Amino acid sequence: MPPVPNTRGHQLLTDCTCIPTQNSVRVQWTKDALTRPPSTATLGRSLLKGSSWNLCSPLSSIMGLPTTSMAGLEVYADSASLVSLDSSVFFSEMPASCVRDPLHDFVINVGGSRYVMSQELLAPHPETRLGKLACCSRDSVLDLCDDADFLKNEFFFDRNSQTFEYVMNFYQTGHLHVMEELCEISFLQEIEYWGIDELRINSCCRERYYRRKEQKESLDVRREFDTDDDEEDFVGAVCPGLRRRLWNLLEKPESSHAARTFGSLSIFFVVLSVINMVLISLDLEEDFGVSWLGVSGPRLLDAVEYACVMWFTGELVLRFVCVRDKCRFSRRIPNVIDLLAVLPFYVTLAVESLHGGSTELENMGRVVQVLRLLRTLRMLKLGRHSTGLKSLGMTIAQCYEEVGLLLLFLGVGISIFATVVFALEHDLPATTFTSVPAAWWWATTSMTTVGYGDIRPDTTVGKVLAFLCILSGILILALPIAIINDRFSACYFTLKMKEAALRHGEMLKRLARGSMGEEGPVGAVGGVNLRDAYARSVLEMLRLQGRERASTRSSGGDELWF
Amino acid sequence: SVEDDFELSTVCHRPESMDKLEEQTKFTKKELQVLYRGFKNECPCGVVNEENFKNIYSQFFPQGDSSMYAHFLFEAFDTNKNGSVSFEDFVFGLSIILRGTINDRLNWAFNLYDLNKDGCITKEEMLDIMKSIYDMMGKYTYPTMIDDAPREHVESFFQKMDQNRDGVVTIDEFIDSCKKDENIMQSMQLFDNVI
Repeated sequence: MPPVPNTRGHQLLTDCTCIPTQNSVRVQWTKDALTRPPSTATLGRSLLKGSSWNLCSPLSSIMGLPTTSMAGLEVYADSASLVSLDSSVFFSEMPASCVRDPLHDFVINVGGSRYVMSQELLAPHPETRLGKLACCSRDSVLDLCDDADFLKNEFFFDRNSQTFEYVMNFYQTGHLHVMEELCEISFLQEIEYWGIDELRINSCCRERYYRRKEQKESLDVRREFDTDDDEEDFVGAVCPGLRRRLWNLLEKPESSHAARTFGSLSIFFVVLSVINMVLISLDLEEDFGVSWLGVSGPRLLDAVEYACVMWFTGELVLRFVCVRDKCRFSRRIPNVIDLLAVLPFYVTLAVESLHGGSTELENMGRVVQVLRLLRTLRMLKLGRHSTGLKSLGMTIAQCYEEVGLLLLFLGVGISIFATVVFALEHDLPATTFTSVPAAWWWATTSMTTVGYGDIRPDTTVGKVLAFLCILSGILILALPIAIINDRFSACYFTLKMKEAALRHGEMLKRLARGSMGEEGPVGAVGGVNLRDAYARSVLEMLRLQGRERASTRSSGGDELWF
Repeated sequence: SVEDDFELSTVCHRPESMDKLEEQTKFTKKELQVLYRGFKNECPCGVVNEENFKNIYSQFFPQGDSSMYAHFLFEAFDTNKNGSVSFEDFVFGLSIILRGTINDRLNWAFNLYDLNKDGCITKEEMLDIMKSIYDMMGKYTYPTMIDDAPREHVESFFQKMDQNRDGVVTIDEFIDSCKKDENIMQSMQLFDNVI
């Protein structure tokens, strides 16, 4: 039977819920009601006196019991204490015969909150912890609960009482709900303890629960990966002081002016090498007749190339020498990119010096050209300095399912439209649809709304189908992109906050290290104040959270206020 | 549906009208809306309980254990002692901290430090607070954390503040000595323009 809604209008019953059981109604009071006077005994008495009919009549009409059989009210108050969280008010159809056997009721004390439960309540769920408690023997009771008082029939569990109310609700109604403010991981731990499977969660809360649980788990997994690149600890290594200073210079641009300069120089060289590549490809002599850089144009560009490569090599070698765990260093992606950025140059150099002038150069030349193209990877080096690029990388890594979905949608759409339009078009004399792969290419450029125009339909029916193709392309491609969008936002802001926290931690570490053995007023060390450091960090966090709220869709706001 | 009405002990809480809050605090309507938005985001059910409060607080101090200090702070915000901080409590507290006069703020700080709210701060209370602050700052406190550091800190604090040497600091002694300290006065102005 569904629980009866709150009889909110009634004076005495404003803070309770009435749950009909077999032949009685259990009235369960909320915590608020019972911590204020009057006590349950007084309430019971006043219920008996006058308001009994008010209690019974609306309920009876809902439950369909005949009003004439209301014999009277029995008040059962928990004998354990006056301030009890649960009191049962019974009304019986027949006089004395169904007085409940008190031994079948016991008190469950969860983290301080007491609940009275009966055998019948727990019987339908024998696989749960409380169900096992209800039908087990005295000896095995202490395996299930943390403490037991057999005199008062009370069993104590040292768990979260807030979550237990949802478990209680589950026993009473058979539905397990997850409210919005709960943490899903904590909820899962609690219901696992109580022996309730998470599959029993009601369908209304199920989606939100699984979605948030997955988000939290992915956050955890990411955190495990990120603790991987924790700070470098130079204690015990060869010349630790020098290495630490060098490491700070290379890796932490906020630590000092020199480090910031180094970071800027690094970015400058990357941009310079890319511009250089562009200029070389322009093939100046042919385009401008006499190149505006003079006869030494190509040589100048080569010189710039050598300078860039020397800088990159120097940076990489310094980093490699400085770090302690060389294996872990070589596995991290930014370092792999750094290596790939300089490798082509050296391979080219090696090839030219070994095979200079021989005919085998032809084949090698092609390989070398491919390697030269890897120079474009140098743009990725900017990822070291930019939060945006890092979060882009993280998003793609996390959203590979959605990217796959995108490709799947595209693939299906392309094959359908391509074959249909090909069938219509390939008979025409001046058709551009020369083969099915050509039709695929047309479908791709149409669905992504690029439309090169090298292949186009000429028949009317073909054009109508092209219209459908373009429309469906817009619609179905937008779908996975929305998901990726969301994920990118979340990644970006999480990363920004993590970096802010890291910067703050760094500052504190420097304070602590720099302040050892120094005298002075509490918290003031060489101009950097502990209090100011904290104030700056808190203000930055607040600003970041404000921006996150402004840019993402957030619930709760002004609309809900009047 | 019936299940939705069947709220358990936390009921969804709506704050009183904005006009009333505007006259009782020193915030404008716009600022109250911004605060409400942020509040509702973190606590969709309209009230903060202690668990939630500790969670939010630990985000700002990830390198230490801020639970004890957050507990003290929660008690200071929860003026009617009902175990939850509603939006009104929150805004009243913030109004004093951010927009109150120096005396108001010092009063509020005294109320925070006076753990049993009996009008005076004893050495034990101060020691509890000091330990919680050291815990919150984690391993990077200055001076580096030795076991006795909070106790020594408390001794020096009491030497400065307890003028009549009776072993407790009353509110007048507290306000007096705070007003004389340059650092503390500067700290009071730190978060003036946060909203």
